[in-house]
Formats: sequence, structure tokens, C-alpha cells
Amino acid sequence: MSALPSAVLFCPGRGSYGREELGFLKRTLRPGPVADALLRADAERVAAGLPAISELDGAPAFKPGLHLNGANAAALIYFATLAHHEVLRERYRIVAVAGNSLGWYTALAVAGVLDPYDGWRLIRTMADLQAKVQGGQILTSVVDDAWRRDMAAERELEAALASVGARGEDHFVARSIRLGGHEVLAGTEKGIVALLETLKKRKVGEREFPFRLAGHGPFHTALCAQTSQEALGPVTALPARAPTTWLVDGDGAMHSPWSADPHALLHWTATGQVLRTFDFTAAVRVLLREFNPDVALCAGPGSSLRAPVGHVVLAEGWRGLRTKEALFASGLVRTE
Amino acid sequence: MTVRREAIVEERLRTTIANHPGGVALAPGDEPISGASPLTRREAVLVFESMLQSRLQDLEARRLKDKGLGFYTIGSSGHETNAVFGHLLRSDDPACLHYRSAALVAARARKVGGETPLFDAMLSFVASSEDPISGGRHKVLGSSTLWIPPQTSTIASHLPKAAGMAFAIDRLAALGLPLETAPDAVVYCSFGDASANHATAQAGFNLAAACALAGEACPVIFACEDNGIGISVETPDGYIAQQYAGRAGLRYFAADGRDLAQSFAVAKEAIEFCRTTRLPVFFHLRTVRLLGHAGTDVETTYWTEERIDANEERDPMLLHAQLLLDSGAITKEGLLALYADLEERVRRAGEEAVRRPKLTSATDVIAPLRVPKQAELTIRVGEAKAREAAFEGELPERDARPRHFAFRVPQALKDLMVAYPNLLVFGEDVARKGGVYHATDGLFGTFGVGRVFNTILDETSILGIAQGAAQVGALPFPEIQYLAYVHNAIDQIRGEAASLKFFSRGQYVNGMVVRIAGYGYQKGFGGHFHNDNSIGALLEIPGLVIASPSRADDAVTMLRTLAAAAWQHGTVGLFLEPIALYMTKDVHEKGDGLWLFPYPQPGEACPIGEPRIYAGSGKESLLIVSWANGLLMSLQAQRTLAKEGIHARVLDLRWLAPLPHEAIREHAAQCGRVLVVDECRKTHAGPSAAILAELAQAKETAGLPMRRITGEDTYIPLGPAANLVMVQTDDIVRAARELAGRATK
Repeated sequence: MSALPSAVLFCPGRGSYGREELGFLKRTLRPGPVADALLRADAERVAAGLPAISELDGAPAFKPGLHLNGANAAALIYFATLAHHEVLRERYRIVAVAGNSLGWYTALAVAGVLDPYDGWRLIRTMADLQAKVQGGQILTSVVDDAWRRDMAAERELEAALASVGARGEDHFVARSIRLGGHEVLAGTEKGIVALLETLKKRKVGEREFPFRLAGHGPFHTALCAQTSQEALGPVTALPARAPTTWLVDGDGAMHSPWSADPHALLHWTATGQVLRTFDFTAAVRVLLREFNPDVALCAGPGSSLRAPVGHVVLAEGWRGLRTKEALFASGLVRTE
Repeated sequence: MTVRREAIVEERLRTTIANHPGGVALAPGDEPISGASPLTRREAVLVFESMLQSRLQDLEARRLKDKGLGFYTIGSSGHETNAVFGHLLRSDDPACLHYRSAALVAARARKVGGETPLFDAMLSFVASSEDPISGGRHKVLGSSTLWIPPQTSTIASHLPKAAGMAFAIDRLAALGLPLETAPDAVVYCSFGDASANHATAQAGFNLAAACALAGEACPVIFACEDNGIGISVETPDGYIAQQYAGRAGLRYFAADGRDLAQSFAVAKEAIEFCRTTRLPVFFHLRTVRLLGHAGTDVETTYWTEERIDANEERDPMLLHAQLLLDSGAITKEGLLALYADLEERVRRAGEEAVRRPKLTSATDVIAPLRVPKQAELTIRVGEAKAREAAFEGELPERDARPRHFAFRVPQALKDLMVAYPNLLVFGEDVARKGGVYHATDGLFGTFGVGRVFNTILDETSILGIAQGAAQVGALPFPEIQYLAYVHNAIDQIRGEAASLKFFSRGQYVNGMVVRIAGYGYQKGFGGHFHNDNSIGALLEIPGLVIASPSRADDAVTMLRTLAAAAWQHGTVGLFLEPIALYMTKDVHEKGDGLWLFPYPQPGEACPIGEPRIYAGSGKESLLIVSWANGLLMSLQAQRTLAKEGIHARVLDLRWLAPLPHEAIREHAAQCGRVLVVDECRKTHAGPSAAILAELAQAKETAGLPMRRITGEDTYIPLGPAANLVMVQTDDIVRAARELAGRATK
């Protein structure tokens, strides 16, 4: 067994590539299969009249309209995480991988179920299909400044979901992602607007919640039924192999390198996780408890998963860590 | 001779893998592992992962114990093939497991997201308060999310409830009532070959077979994990097969746990049989016991080294690993990596588990046994139209005539059956006959055989049905015909029903109201078995609520409370009915009608632990504490004493557990003298000793003149001699005079 610290790796989802991340891909990417896949992807995009991913990454300025566009953002994040993983795996012994939402697709590639190019095809397919779905996502928080669970906020959230949902089918809302102390909610346009009106504003650190996630669809809800139906064929046709490391999915289910069914993983990718709440919290909890790694590593781009992973560590009191300060001092949750 | 065998057993498995020649290429995972087996290579590896996890957990449990950090070492080594059931059963098929089924739990957990079976196992070994099922109260195999209610039984006393649960699933489904399981769920129940001999195990088999032979559904799989030995006592060769292969009513399946593909195939067939036919199965899984009965069991005290070695050579995991490698289900390098991975994960999980908190106060330990306060209960009243229909237009509260006990009990039950559509009444003779004392009169006619039914003549089975039915969504009201009969089944209340909340931290409950007819004073009729006057075995059970009314209206309001507590709070309640008071109408003189009472208004209930006071003149100098038959005699004595200028206040306990100590104390302090009239026999049979001990130790009552009168330490004889050994009214009067310092005339 290598002397490197053991790590579980978390792949970030949409929203992780922002202004600060411009150039991250270029800085991180090394020659190899990821770079090769990026070349192919870029060529295809250019041929289709779309900006190349490396061009987006190398742009002199961050343009929300361009960089946060669903297909562009997904591609950027996917390749950036893959590139980062190649660096991280030299510093850590990665024993298991999970991802948040889009990060699940990346996790499949990180774990070797899909090669980098086929992972890209998955990203493209899902982004194209999801772009057709009407609705959106909002991000809210149910922790306080100290990252402690606020039960009142939790109850308020439940009540808001129930009251908005009760207004009728056109106000459909649901939990989209359980994200530690953050909660992603999704729904129809009317539902989202009503939720934003219903939920009380609350400030956690410098950020005010809730807010709408620009360019996001109502992912991980029943509103994506059409996506799932259309994705099933192309996604399950992707050539898949057994993972080379443990994978934990958005139900918190564990898949081992020795017994995972690659086809079943793709099937779930096109169905389960598209249609129901993505429970990233459960995935973090499972990885802590069943692997007790030296490090919970949040892959780039950005550091968007550091807080959600930290929230779960504190909620669990893992290794006796019960305060934000102790957590930061411990170095258990890392971004690099 | 090495006494500790862990390292040897572990090394043998490791060496088997390491010495395999290897070189077998990975073969397609979707194909059978051998021949036409339904087990694919991929599934075989998946199941093996859970088996190995279970094995390594066992070893870690012993390391933790050696370090003084763990507290439980009974393991599953050699039984790991039960993981095939974990894989094949649905995760919502209830599983009542004995302590060697850790691999099954691990395999089931792999089917459900968010489960952490490895860490959970470590938490249970170290008795952490964060153990998700028992909260550190016991090392149990259980899970609220995996439909595994914890069993603490080492003597197969969980079999009756498993059969009862299976019966109830189909019964509730047939009645169209909400079910806690899927309507086609099957119940899995594991135990060992030695414990199959236990009386309760036999009751479980009998109940299931009796159902099947009577044409009733009972989809239970009794899985006998036959390792051929119980601690040091060997089970004769072929014993289990001889006993069960041809047993009427049970379909027998057998598999050799050392043959993974065969075990998987037969298990699959058995589950399908059980699920589709709804008939009970006896599954005989031959296993090997490794590492002794528990960590403290040194096999060398009863086996030779050669015998131990030969036994360990039969380790099923050796063959399973071999099969995986030979069939190309996994490469040698892969299996070594899998082994190393699990070893590391088990070690790491253990490292964190020992840091997790423990139970730190008696209050925390006891918390799940809490009795609900009345304010937490909703006394349910049936819908008006449904009540009218059930009572055929003659609502009992509209009947102005006061009535006796046996008249009101069936009315109260009928009302409750309207209020709770899932309330089931069952026992011996309760259906068409309406009970030997007519306490269930008319229920069968009103609600039909689905909800009011006779059981086989066995109290263990009755209580097994109650526990199982409660866990899948019923509100059971079982009847035990006589108090003496409860004793042959007492462990079903003491060790099972009443303990479920404790060992599951309240996550599993089996709320029920057990009606039991009892006590003496039947004018010499019946002898001991119908006049039992000891309830000591019930009074000591933690968490149990015991009601014992003596009058008709109290019976009604107390049943309402018990029903609410059972349904809302999972309380196991006993309702002790004094047989001699069923038809009693008078207190002092024939025809005075003072023991007849109107039907309490719907919604009216008697709070748990609230006694009833029969005040005297207002200047009482004596408190008489009693209940049931003793109460009636105390009231008679009260009048006699008053004529002599001895003014007594009488306190009817009504609730025997928990006892109303505070109220007794308060009234005792006011009156200044205490006489406890306990119709049970003298030694540990009734509540009087506990009541006096509390009074003697309480600041406000210590030193008061106090005494008790009880029955003699004997069984109740037949005929007039019965009265020689039971408390009589005259005894009460005499004792009261003595306490008051008056000579008896």
C-alpha cells in the first residue's frame, strides 16, 4: 500500500467554474488522455460552431452569459476536474470517488468507468437534453454562520415546499440536491418564483440565501422525465468498464471496483439520478463512515464543495470535529 | 496448542488466495458462475464482498475486545453464506435475525443507498450511543431502514413473532388495511440448529405450520443455520433434516453453505416459493462454526486440536474464494486488492468508532422505556355512523341502566374496534363463542373472522401473532384466557414484546393490549390454574404498563387509554380482568347494585397511573391501598370500620405498573396510617412490598404505622379451602383495627 495519504475525492457540479477559475484548465492540464479527449471535444465544438472549451478557459474575461451557459459550463467543469484529478492522484491515494450532480458524470470518468472522451459524450448528451427542460433551481442554506444545522430554517424549508407545491401542478417544486447544509430546490418556473417569494432571506457569511442558480434547469426531479427517456438509449450505449476505485452515487449507494456493473451505473445515470433528489449529503456521509479517509478532497475547479462536505463532517462530529475552526485546523477537508 | 484461533483462520483464507495459481482471465460478469447457476460471476463477487466484510468485522470485534474497547464477540464466521439471502430478499422483506447473520445485513445494505453497515457494526461492538439501532444498549443486528427489527434472543424466542408477522401481512392485506410492508413481503427468520430445540422455536414452527394446514397464509422463511453445535454440545448428524424434512405444513429446502452456487440457487427457489404460495418454508443451511461460540469460548476444552483444525479446514470462505478465482469472477490480484481494501476499511472504521460517545446516564439508558403522559395521547372515538351501525343503533352511553364489568368490556372493545380499523381481537375461544367469560361477546358477529379470530391453543403463539401483527401495522388485542397460562409464554412479553423499544431505541414498536383474565375468589371453582393470584412475573418487566380495573366504567376508560398508548406510543399494555368481578353487581348487600356503572362518555379516559379514591367521612385516619378483588373487600371493610369509628380512605391503584407512588404517598401522609391489601400471595407476587418499601423510605411517610395483608404462599386449592389462603374482608377489618390501636372484638 502506498504511503500517500488516503483520500476520498469529490467532483464538483455546476456553478463551480466562476470568474476566479478562468485559466484553471490550462494551468492544470497535462499531456495525456484527458488532454487528448479535450482536443477531440474542442474540434467537435468548433465544427458545430461552438467556442472551444480551451478557448472559454483561456478567455481574457469571464462572461456569465457565455461561461455559465449550461453546455459550456458543463464541459469546462468536466475537463477541469479530470485534469485536476490527474494532478491529485499523484499526491493522494484515492480510494473512492463521488460527485455532486454533474460531478457524478465526472466521477464516472475519474473512476475509469468511461474514458475521458466517452465521459465528454455523456456530458454533452445530458447537457443538450437538459437544456430543453423548462424550470430552474435555487440554492438555499439551512446552516448558520458556524455551519450548525438550523432546525427552524429546515422546518421553514419543508413548509415552503409544501405550501408552494400545494398551489397546483404548474407550481411543482421538489428537493433537487441535498448538499450538506445547503439545499438545492428545483421546480417549474412558477414554482421557483413562488419559492423565492416564500422563503425568508437569510445571510450566511457573506452570502444571502436563497438565490436562483442562473442557467440551471429543474435537475433531479420528475420534471426531467423526458430527459431520462431520451438519455437512456445513448447513455447506456456508451462503452463502460468496471470502475478502478469505489464509487458512491447520489443515492449514497456504494459500487466496488470488483463487483460494480458498469451497465447498471450508466442506467442509473440516465434514470435514477435524473428523476429524483441527488443526495450528495448521503454520499459524503457514506464515504466518511465506510472509508474514514485521511483526507476528504474536493477537486477543482473552485472550492464549491468544501462547505457542503464540511457541513457533513461537522454534523457527524467526525473525528470529534464539531466547530468550523476545528474543522479548518484539521485539514480533513481539502481543496488544492 | 494455540488457544486463540483468529490468526490461524485468517491466515488460512489469506494463504488460499495467495497460493492460488492465478492466471485465470476475467470472464463475463453477467454469466453464471458455474453451469446453469442463477448466480452470476458479478453477483458472486458482490456477495463475497459482504461475506468478507462480515469475517473481518468478527476479527476486528475480537481485537477491540482484547484492547478493552469492544464488548461483544459472538460472530458470524463460517456462516457467511447467509449473505445470499441478504442479496436475494428484498430490502423491505422483514428480517428477524440471530447473531450470526452479519453477512446478510451487509449484503442487504449494499442494495440500499446511504447505508453504512461497516461503521454501524463497529459502533455496535463498542456499545456507542450512536449505534443507529440500539443506541449502545446491546450489540444487535438491526436497522430501521433495512426492515431488520433487532432480536436479542439467543434461544430462538423470536420465531413466534416472525410467524405472527408473516400471518399478519396477509391478514392486513386481505382486510385492506395499511401495511408497514409490501403486501407480497415475506418474513425471514434465522436461528441455529441447537436453538431449534427451544420450546419457543417449536411454537414458531407449529404456528406457521398450523396456519398452512388450516389454509391460512404464513409467508415466513425459517432459516436454520446448522453448524452442528451449540456452544459445546453437538447436534447429532442429520438431526435437523430428520426433524424437519418431512414436517407437515413446512416446505423444506436444504443447501450446503460451503457451496455458494447451490446455496444461492436453492435460496432463490425458496424465496420464490414462499413469496408466491404464501406458505412457510424451513430452509436448512448447513454452515460451519468458526472461532468458537464467542470470544470467551475456548474450543480446546471440548475439542481436540485435530478436530478444531479439521473444522477450520472446512471454512466455507476458502471454497468461495476458490470458486471466484477458478471461474474468472475476479483475478487473484483483484481478490488480494479487495481483501486489503476491506482490511483497511474495517481497521479505519474501528478507529473512529472507539472515539464515538457512549451512554452516560441511567436516564439515557432507560429513555426508550418511557411511559407516555396522558397529554400525549389522543383518545380516539369512532365515527358516529360507524358506531351507530356497530351498536345497531343502541349506543351504550345512551343506555341509562348501570351495568356490570363483563357487560361493559365487550362494549368498550366494540367501540375501540370502530375507532381503530386495524384493531384485531384474537385468542382462544374469543370468536364465535365470545370468550369463556363473554368478554368478547358480539365482536365476531359485528366485525367478522378477519378481525376477531380464534387462535391455536398456545399462548406463545398468541403473543407471537400480537408482536408480529403490531410491527406490520395492526393494533393487536390478544386475549390470554387465564393468568396462569401467561406464564408458559411469559418470555414473549418479558424478553420480546416489552424489550423491542429498548433495543431499537423506539424505532421499532409493537404496541398491544394483552387482556388477561385472572385472580382468585371464584367461590372455590377452578383451582389454581383458573385462580392464579401471582403477578410478580409481570410487575418486574421494564416498560410494561399494567392496568387492573375492578369496576365496569374504569374498565372502559382504561382500555381506551391503553389502546391510545399502544397505537401512538407503541406501549405494551396488560389489562388484568378480575374474573370474580365480571358479574359482580353489589358491594355490601345483595341487590344494592353499587357495582353497576354507566358507560363512560366517548372520549373519556383514565390516565395511566391515576388511582381512584374512595373517601370516607373526611376525617380519615387510615389509608387502605388495594385493587381488584381486594378493592371490593376494602370497601366492605371501610363501611364496617366506619361504624366502629375507624375512618378509612380507600385508594384503588387501578394501575399496577407504573405504580402511583406519589399519590399513595400523598394520601398516606394525610391519613397517617397505611394498610395495603394485596390479594396476591405473600412473596414477590403482588405490589404490596414495593409500595411499603417506597413509603418506608419517603421523608413524608417514613415512620408511619403501616402494614400489609396478603394471601398465603401457596397455590390456590379447589373448593372452600381456597378461602383459607386468600385475603378475606374480615382480615382487612382486623388489620385496620390493629393499626388503629383497637382490639378486635
